[in-house]
Amino acid sequence: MIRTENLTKAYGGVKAVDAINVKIEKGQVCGFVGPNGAGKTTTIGMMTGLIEPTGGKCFVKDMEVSRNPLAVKQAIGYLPDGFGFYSHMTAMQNLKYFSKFYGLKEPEANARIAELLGEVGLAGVEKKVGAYSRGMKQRLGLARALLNDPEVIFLDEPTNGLDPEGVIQFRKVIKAEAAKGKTIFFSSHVLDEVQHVCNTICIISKGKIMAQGTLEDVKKRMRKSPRFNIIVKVDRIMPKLANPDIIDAVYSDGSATIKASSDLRDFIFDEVVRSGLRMRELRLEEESLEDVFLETVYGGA
Amino acid sequence: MRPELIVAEKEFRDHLASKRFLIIFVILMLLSFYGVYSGMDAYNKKLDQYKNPALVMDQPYMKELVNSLQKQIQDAEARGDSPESIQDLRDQLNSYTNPPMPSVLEVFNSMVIFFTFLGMILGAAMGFDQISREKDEGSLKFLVSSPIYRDAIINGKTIGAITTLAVALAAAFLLAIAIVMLRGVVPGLDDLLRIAAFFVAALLYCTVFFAIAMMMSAVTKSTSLSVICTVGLVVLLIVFSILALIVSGFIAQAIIGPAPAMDYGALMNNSTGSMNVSSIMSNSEYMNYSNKLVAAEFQISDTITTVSPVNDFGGFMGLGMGGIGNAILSKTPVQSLSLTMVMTPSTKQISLLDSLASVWVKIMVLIVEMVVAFAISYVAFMRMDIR
Repeated sequence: MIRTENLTKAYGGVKAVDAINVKIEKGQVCGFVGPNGAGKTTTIGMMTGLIEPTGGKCFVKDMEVSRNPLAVKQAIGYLPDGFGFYSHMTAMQNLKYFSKFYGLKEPEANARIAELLGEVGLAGVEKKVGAYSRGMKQRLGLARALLNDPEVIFLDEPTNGLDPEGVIQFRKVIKAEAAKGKTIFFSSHVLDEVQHVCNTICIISKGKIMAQGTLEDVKKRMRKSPRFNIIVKVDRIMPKLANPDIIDAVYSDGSATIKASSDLRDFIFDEVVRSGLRMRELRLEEESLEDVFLETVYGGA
Repeated sequence: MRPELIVAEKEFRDHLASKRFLIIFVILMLLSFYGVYSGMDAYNKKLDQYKNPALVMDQPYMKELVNSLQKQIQDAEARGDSPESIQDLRDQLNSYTNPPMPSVLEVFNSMVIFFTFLGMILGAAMGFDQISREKDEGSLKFLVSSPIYRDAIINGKTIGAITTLAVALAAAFLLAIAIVMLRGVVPGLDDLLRIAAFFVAALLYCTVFFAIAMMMSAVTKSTSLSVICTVGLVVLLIVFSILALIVSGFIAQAIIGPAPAMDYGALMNNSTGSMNVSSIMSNSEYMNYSNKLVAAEFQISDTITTVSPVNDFGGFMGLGMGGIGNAILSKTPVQSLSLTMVMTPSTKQISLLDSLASVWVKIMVLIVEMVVAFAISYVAFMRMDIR
């Protein structure tokens, strides 16, 4: 549904996006993560036709963006980062103005706008957009991105400025759109958000794609050496463990978090029992997306 | 509806509702009202003088002027000057002794100065944030991500602004015509044609400043920078006009040569301490030199300042003389300046087409400037990365 071929953007000789190849299939919800200045917004800008690539190609629904900008824009919905609305107009007036570009007839547009404003929790808000809070503007932005019932949705930092209720509402909307078979590509700094909503992930750093695929695929591929996080809880003071596979260990009164290069659960169990203690908990903790991200982008720093 | 018309419709509504536009529009209407009202008084006075020439001709200064011109004609004939220069002097004399019937267009002539300065402000005020404001506020991202070509956006903005300018100018013109008609003067067909041509010229002039301001808005990174550049350009144009006048004075002096020797002491009126005008005017050698010098200076300055839209439309320093507005609203040829720094009236009537032909270079310059500014805005906007 979304495909790039050596997509590149350079500003003054510096490559903000460096020959990236991304492939997102129909119905996938892809989280596009990377540190600040990694090239996320520039990449989305090129995918939506707002930024002209310096090199390479970008396809949406098999249409090359720079050759078929109108057809692509007709098919996509886009929530940019740092967007704005016409502050002297109401939400309804703003959306009505944009709806005209999609050729929506007035009754059709009115119904669609009312439905969307209801979905994002702005139904019945009559004040001018200039008086909106940041969170309200973000919700309206999401409604704008969905105005044309797009097949492909690009969201750039969509939960910025949203309160917890707004975030939950946003997840609901995204999940509903994903359930309809829409393809969603969104960038975020909030890794937890990505984990909640996405079924695939794409990590970008310094303009290059570091990893992409399902969360599990990426974790597996990016793990340079096996790493196991083991949580141990005992009934008294946890004894210090000695094993060459232990990379790091944090002890507190009755518990410990062990990072090791192998699964040391049997060894830990034996040690605890030998010390005359009772085991309360012994489990292997799944590697978090944050760990994968840090490992991928900063080499585990 | 075509995308550019969707954008134009919104822009038109936004302009009409904006405080900035409304303030300038109200000032324009008030000044038009004042200009036409005072112009009507001047027109009625001239009409009285036309109906009763003795009112003017019995004035001592007029007698002195007529006598001086008669003497100049005699001197010129005695010297064997060219028939053209003698005819010019005769035309001048004729314009004083048999003045033409005043035209209602003189009423509109008084509006040229207001239109020159307010048109510049109105056009610039409407254009300086056309692109940059949407960029600053972030609405451009949504607009550009809509399924429309970028040229439709810029075309729509231009159509919306020009329509607003046309409405504002039309309102001022209709107010002027209404006042004229209420005071019992009905413009003839030629007058109406000239008023219509003046309207189109005024719209073109405002559009030039709109295009320049929009160009600034497209090439600069923010609205504040766009304002600085637009205001800077306007100030530069005014300073340029003044500098051009000074420079052209030196150039004219270099071309015409030094002034003839003259007894300046004799020119002073001992009893009043002022200059003796009739003594200057009777000195035909000095008069010829001065007329040539001023005419050359004016011509050079006019040529240099052709690049300035203010001078093209509003004439010399934007004060009306010699500009497109003045040419369209004058049924006589565009006149040069004489020593007394007043327009020398002519009785020769010319058609509207002849009037337009006399300032075609200035009209072309306005069109070229508008097209260039729009072209730069187009290129800058088309190549703009919306981030």
